[in-house]
Amino acid sequence: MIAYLGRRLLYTSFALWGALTIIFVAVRIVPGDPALLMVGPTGTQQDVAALRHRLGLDRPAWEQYARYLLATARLDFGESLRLEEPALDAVLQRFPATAQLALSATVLAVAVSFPLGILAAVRQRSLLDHVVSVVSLLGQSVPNFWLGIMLILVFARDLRWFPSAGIGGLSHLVLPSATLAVLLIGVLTRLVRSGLLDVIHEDYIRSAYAKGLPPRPVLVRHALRNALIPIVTIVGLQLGQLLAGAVIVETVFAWPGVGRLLVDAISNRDYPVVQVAVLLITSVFVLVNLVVDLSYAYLDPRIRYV
Amino acid sequence: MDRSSPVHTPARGAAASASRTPSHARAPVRRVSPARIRLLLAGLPVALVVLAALAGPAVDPYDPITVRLVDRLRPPLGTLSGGARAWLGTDQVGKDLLAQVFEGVRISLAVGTATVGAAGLIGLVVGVVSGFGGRVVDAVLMRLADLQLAFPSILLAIVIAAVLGPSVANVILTLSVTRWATFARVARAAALATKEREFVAAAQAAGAGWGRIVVRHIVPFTLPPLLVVATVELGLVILAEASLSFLGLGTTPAHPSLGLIIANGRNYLSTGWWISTLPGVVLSLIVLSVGHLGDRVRDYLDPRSRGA
Repeated sequence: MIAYLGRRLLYTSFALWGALTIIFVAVRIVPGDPALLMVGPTGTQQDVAALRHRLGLDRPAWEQYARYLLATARLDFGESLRLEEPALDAVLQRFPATAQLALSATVLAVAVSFPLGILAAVRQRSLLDHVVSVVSLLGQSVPNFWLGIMLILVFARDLRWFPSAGIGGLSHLVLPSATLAVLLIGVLTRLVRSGLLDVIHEDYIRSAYAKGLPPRPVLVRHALRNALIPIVTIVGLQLGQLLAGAVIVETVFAWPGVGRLLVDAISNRDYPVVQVAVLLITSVFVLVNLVVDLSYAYLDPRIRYV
Repeated sequence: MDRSSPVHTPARGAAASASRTPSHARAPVRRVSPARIRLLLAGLPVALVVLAALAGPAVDPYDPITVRLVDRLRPPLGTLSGGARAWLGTDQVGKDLLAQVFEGVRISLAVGTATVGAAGLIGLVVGVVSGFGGRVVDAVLMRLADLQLAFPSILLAIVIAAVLGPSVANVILTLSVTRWATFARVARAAALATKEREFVAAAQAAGAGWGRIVVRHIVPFTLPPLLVVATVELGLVILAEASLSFLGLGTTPAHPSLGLIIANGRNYLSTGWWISTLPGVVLSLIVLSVGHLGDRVRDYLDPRSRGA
């Protein structure tokens, strides 16, 4: 267990280092001088030179890289170029909004896709099964930015049930989290269905029925629990998609989270903020996958980490 | 595909003989396998999309970028000032929406296929090199692929696209850089499995060099699994391109992809709901039909995964 955890942590830090390096290279292959771009057309020669010096751009690349890694280790990401506050603070401030959106989307997706997937598996090849599979395929095919616009059009503009933009009470959360949940619903429903179908014909399920258990506990306690491992893995992997999807959904609904901050920072060339936002999203993604891997032992006691 | 890989993969060969034996016993007529029929049926909508992309300009006489302010914000089926009909309406400057959608489909398909082709080629080269390059090369390349897959790909695409700036070529570059890893994994697995086969040893014994063995004997075996990945990825890439364009990081107004048309309509939801709505319906249908075809290609080439 300890050795496994150590190996996983090593891999996690490797992934984060990779993310850091990708960002470092990406920002520096910009055609032209980033300092020039940041200062903009109104800046003087001196401004550019001062900024170059402040950012350390006048030093050799390897030294910049080393300084960059050291500063990151100290969690020092520098000031935002536009917001007049440390980049880290700016991003962390926005994080709860994104977390709220991602969590409510996940809860919503689980609440919809588990019943749908179970029903489809129990009534395999029925009309219901076919409808569910078409719906889940649709969920994976509809672009989420378009879906968001359609929900605004119908539920905010025409019916006026929910606000179309911004953050506030529960009513503000409905449309963005529904938009974000749809992709996950498509993936999860398919997975719950096929996972259940894999175990539903096992001997122990027949035994459970034979000893007189009603269908519901058999499905939930015997079948679903054994089908859960691949589902949890995919939910973990999908979190990356969900966070990336949040970038787009936050843009559509003017939701003040990390994703929208990232898009704004990109269009303003606010590189310190871009860097922290990407690093934060990647860290959350990598850590959730670590937790997912560790949860296997709970879901399936046969699994031991070596 | 059939012609480029004359020798079937084990899975496919087994399936073909399994489905053929009973029909041989019953009747001499060779039946078309149900999987092939399903494959052809799934290919039909995709073929229609491609046809629409190619024949669009002939059906709709309007130029997608001609501005006609008198005819702005005409609803679908509305009549233009000249008496002609705008089937899907016009946008805020009077550009014909149907012509824009045809153009958008063409761009989305072109970007999608170019990206999948480039990512597939990178993946093929990396995968085969990884399978043959010895342990160190293999470990380095595969950890790199892991790293790539550990990173939410659309996020990476957003960052790279932001750095490169919007253009059709940059979108293709960005998306192939973020999509090669799956291809590389699959190509490597196929290369490793084929490497141990007798005919490779035979070719070696006959004096063939590694270059020849890889090109003539290994690469053909990696193509069927790569084709499966390619069709599945095509839908995802088209979606990713639309998302980038929606954020203003994809194609430019000179090349209006579907994502860009939808983004444009966002500002006119109350006066022209159709501008965002209709291209989105088309985009969803394309991704849906390509995704469906991907499933069928997988079923056909890898019967073990059928129904999964």
